[in-house]
Amino acid sequence: MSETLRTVLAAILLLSAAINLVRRQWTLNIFALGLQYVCIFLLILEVRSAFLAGIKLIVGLMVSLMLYLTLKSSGLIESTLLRRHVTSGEIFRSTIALLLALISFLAAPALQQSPFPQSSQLLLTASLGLILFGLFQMGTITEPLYLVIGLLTFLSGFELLYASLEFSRLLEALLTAVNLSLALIGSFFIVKDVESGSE
Amino acid sequence: MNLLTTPSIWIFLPILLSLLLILVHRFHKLSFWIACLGSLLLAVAAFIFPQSLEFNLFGRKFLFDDTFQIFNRGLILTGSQLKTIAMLYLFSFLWNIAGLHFSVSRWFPTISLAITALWISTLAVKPFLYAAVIVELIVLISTLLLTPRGKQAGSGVMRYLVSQTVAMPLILLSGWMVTGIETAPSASPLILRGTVLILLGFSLWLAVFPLHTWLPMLADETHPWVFSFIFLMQQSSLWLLLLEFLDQFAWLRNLNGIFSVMQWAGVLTLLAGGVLLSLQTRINRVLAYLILIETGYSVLAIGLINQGGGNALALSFIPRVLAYWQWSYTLSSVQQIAPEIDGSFSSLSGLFSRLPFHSMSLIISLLGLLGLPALGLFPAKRMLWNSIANLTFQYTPLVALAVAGMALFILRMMHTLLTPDPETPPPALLIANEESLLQILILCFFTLLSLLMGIFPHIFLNPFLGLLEPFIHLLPLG
Repeated sequence: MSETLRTVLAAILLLSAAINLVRRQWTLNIFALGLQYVCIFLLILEVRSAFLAGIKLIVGLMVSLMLYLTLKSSGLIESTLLRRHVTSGEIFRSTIALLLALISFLAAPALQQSPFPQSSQLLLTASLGLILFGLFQMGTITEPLYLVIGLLTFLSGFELLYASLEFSRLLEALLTAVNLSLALIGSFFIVKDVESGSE
Repeated sequence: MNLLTTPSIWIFLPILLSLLLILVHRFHKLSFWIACLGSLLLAVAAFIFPQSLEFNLFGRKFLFDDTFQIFNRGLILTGSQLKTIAMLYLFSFLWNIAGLHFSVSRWFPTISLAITALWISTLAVKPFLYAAVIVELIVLISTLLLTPRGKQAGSGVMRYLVSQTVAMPLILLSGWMVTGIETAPSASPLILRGTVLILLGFSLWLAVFPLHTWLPMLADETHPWVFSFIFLMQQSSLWLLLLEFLDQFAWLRNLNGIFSVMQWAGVLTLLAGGVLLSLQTRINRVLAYLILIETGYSVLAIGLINQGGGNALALSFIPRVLAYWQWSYTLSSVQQIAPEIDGSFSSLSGLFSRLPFHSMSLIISLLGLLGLPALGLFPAKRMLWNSIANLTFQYTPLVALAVAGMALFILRMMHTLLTPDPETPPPALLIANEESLLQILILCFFTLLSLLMGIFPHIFLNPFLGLLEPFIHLLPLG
């Protein structure tokens, strides 16, 4: 895969994470989460075989589907075409997203130089970006869906980074179990929210 | 694949049993009894199993392997870890046997058994850094129990999930970062980074001050019985995991100042717990601060590992469990008998006249955790107090302040329990015999047990010094 294509993929990856951070529109967020996993799959091909990278893609898509189906069955999905005004919160989060993307872009060379020499700069930018977006999302919101998306984004960033450092089948299996369990917990929280709201 | 292994018995068998319990989870009593019996059998088996893992039965010789291979990695449970396994299954038994009487989730038996098996797998997995991912799995499973029935997930459980998830990558990265640099000088930046990552990871896992804010929030949202079980298991297993890290990583235990940092972290956590407890007005949150105080003592004990802190840590395991059990049992029972108690301190006014044995049990469990002479935790706490007094004068006033905070809370609690609310009818008019004979016997039994442990520690507690046996590098003489 050419370097330009990989750069575009990293940009799409960070953009989808930024959409999840900025925009509060559930269908769009689930779509962005799915897109995030597709980009991770393509980026991770740099350090993993297509078969092993495919596991992450399948798990990611399953996670997105699980969350989508929970939202749909709870009647919480609204049309993606629904137009809403841009809120001040969204402007603030967009600024933060830009800042976080800039930090990851600037910090990647230094990180590559010292603790992670075997990881490519692009991979480090993407993984650091995801970790920062995830951390910010986790730290600023308590709504179950966004919290789970934040956790999944954070973990994806870490998995992307760790994939370039070490490979272990047991660890891959455990991380897969963690991702699926996290989606289950997210669905559980969403259903509980709906149930307690309707009482 | 060799199935005659120790991990098959103490990890896979209980996980299988917990999967089977899913099928019968609607039969509340049945699933509790199966979990109780399963936990008890596993605890007894671990206790009587020979350390050589070899025994004769009906004229046949059975030799168990301590390693189970999975995805080219190993789960290893050696003979020296059997005491730890017995202890963890004993906890599961104690919480299941009484959980039957409280309105906890119907998934409690299933999940408690699975959690116990997973905590044991964290001590067995090799490379042991992978335990971080298993801890994350345990956290995710635990959230199912920590979210109360019919209510939406509170901010406490969300914060818990976040802090535990953030800890996992820190631990995994730390191990990778320092692979193969054991021979580097201790000032190597990589070693320092690895150490910071490990300490931060454990601080998040254990809610060390100032990363503890989610703990009281979670305690307020959750049933005390569930909360005490989850955090007792987490605390006990993570101490052993931290000892494993110190035992396996020579660079970590040989780093200058590492134990001083732990001592300070322990003392400050202890101080925060004591001071915050003295100001507490919600009864459900008390257990969170008690856990914070015990975390402080345990971090301090590990910081003082070269001054006998290891022994204090081992001696404190069982008395602490009994005190947590007694506190959470009594509180759950009080809330069951008197649902009008809303968790505020004022709602407990005059409880002594209505539930005298429960009131006394609450106070005795607090006194036990305070480290009162003749109660179970006194021998361990006395060792720690002596060690810090001999080491430096800096810690003594801070620990004294923490103990004073806790003592002040106990006095406030006694005052509240003994002083009747002027608006409620006099005790003679209140319902009589609200405490059943069984409850009274259980409370008296645990008080007596705590007293026996405090008076005869050499009989009841010394066998638990064996918990330190696996850590041969950290405690070569232990």
